[in-house]
This record gives sequence, C-alpha cells and structure tokens, in this order.
Amino acid sequence: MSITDTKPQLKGQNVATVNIFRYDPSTTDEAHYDSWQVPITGSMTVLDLLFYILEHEDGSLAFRYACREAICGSCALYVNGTYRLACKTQLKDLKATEINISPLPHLKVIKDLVVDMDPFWEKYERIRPYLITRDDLPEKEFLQDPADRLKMDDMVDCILCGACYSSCPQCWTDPEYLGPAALVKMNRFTVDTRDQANQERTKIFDNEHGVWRCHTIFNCVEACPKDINQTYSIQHLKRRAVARRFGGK
Amino acid sequence: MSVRDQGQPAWLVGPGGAMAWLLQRLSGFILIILLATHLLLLHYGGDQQLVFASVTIRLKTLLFIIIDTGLLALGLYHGLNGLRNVVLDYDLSRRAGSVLTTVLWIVGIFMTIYGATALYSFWAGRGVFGG
Ligand code: SF4
Ligand code: FES
Repeated sequence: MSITDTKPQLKGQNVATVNIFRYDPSTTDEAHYDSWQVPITGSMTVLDLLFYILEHEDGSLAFRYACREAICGSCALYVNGTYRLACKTQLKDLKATEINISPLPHLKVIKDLVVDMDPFWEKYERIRPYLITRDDLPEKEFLQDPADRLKMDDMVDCILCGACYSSCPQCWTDPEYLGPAALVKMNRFTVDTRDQANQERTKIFDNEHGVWRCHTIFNCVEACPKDINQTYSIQHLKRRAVARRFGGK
Repeated sequence: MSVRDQGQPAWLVGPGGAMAWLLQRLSGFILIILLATHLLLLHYGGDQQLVFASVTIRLKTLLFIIIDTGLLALGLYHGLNGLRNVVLDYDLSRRAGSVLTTVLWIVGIFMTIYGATALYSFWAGRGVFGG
C-alpha cells in the first residue's frame, strides 16, 4: 500500500499548517522548511503530528523519540519559538493554526529534527554523574534522611533532554562550558549527603569553563520542560566554591 | 601549564573565579552606597556651584576624597572584571586568559593611580594645574 492510499481525508476537519525543518546532508548542503496541511484531532501531540507526516506524507522525515511519556528526554524540539517535548505538547496548547517545528537550536543537525548530542553527553560525563564514596560500602542500602533527600528534589527530575543546553548563550560561545544540565546534576551530587567526592567535584565546577561562565541569563529555566531551576543549582555551586575558599567543605 | 595542572584535561582551567565573583558582588554593593553618597554630597553638601573655587574646597575635604577614591578603584575593578568576564565567554585559551587578566590588572592599577593624582592634588596642597 502506498503512503497516499491510507491518507485520511481533510474534509470537515480542523486543519493546521505544519512547517518542518528539513536537512539531509547526503543529498544537499541546503536546509529548508517543508509545509503540510495536517488534520488535527482533540488530544493530538506534536509527536503524533510528526508520526502523521511520517506515515502519510514523507516517510523520510527523521526525528527522535522513545518513551512517548516525557521521561526519556529524546524528543525535545523547538516548536513555535519555544522549547518543547514533542510527546508532552498537545497541539491545542500551542493555540496556533500554523505550527513551526525545528531541531534544538545551536546544535549540529544530523538530519531533519535529529541533532548531534555528543557535546552535551561529553559535558555530562565530565561531572562524574554518579555517587562516589570513600568509606566501606554499607551491608545493605545507603540510608538517607527524607529531609536530605528533599534537598535534591528539583534536580533529580532532569530527563537530560538538552533543551537547556541548546538555549544557553554560554554554551553557544564557549564550547567547553559544562552547561546547565551537567551543573544541575553536579549540584545534585554535591548536596547528596552520601557522596564523598566534594573536593574533586569542586575542581570540576569551580573552573573557568564551569559555574563562572553562568551569568544568570535564565534561558535554561525558561526552556526546561520539567520546570527545573538550573540557575538556582548553579548559584548554589558558586556559593559552595566561595565557601571552600574560606575553609568550608 | 603549571605543575598543579599537569595531568588534567585541557578544559579544566582552574582554579576558577570564586574570589573574582565574590569581589564583583561586594564591589557592586559598596559602589551603590558610595555612588549614592557621592551624589548626595554633590547636590546637598556645601557650596554646590560648579566653579573652580568650590570644587577646590570639595577636593580638600577628606571624606569626599575617600569616597571618590573608593568610587574610582571599585568602579574600575567592577568594570574591568566585567569586561574580563565578557571576553572569557569566548573560550579563550588558558594562556590568553591569563594575559588578559594581567593586562586588565595593569590597566586598572594605572588608571587608579592616575585618577588618584587628580583627587589628591589639592589635599596635598598643590593645585592640579600647579596653582
Ligand atoms: S535541566 Fe531541564 S531542560 Fe535541561 S536537560 Fe534536564 S530536563 Fe532538559
Ligand atoms: S519521547 Fe521520551 S520524552 Fe518525549
């Protein structure tokens, strides 16, 4: 069955004009936008819309997704001028009949809506995003006070979608800057009472490519689909770095 | 590369700017107070005419000289450190970063001394123009 055979009729339906960024380095050096008319149903998400186009209009459209429930962080896109998770964003919330979909800005495009996330993951690795302990491991699990667990409540919600990294002007100008997501994770481990690597961690964030590059622009806070306050975490790390200079831990 | 940095990856340029960050905030806070005092003194303190004689009197007042020296030094620190931050945003090499910091310190110290000579000349009993 060809693609057009299954295409639903648009008659009597709400229709949106969808413009999608296209780029295929194997055929051309030029990027462009393709436009389609797509029938809209009540709870349709941006991801559903991409599937509609993939199934009925152009089977070569490339985009990322995995969980479809706002937890894997694969589907972050730039939709009508804001950072969005495609799977979490319902079209009716966009309140627009024209929908423009682009890949995450300021990252290298691999194809269409798929960007190269390598720099993002490289920074993430640099901060050693795992628990480091020096003492002998406990017999059973690590116990933690609920009050201490609460301190990292905001930071553990990060799904590593990269929206904040893509939105941060410091990441655009300094390719070595750790970026908001990695610093949020760094803060998550520095406030973790079980972690014992504060000294090594400070070296990594108290660094000209670390927290000091953040000028509290708040783009990351605005971009985050999980409403994480990255700037708070970064400022917290700055205060920690200063405290260490005066003998704090 | 210093001994301390050996074995560290190139991106780890440190130790970072904790003190510069703290001093930027402190100087900013003190500048607000000094600036307000400076303006109040200019508008409400003593003879407010903008003539040579009244300016001379002002520049012989120790409080005014202290406030203005503070404004000069902290204003320069705050401004030049701000400039340093802007330039560092563009991924300078470690070496270029240190050269920049050194040059800005030299410029700042020179300008503070240069500005202070004008502020202190009446206090020292000599006019700026030898009068
Ligand atoms: S902090 Fe928010 S925007 Fe940044 S990667 Fe995590 S979930 Fe995405
Ligand atoms: S598909 Fe996993 S977050 Fe959207």
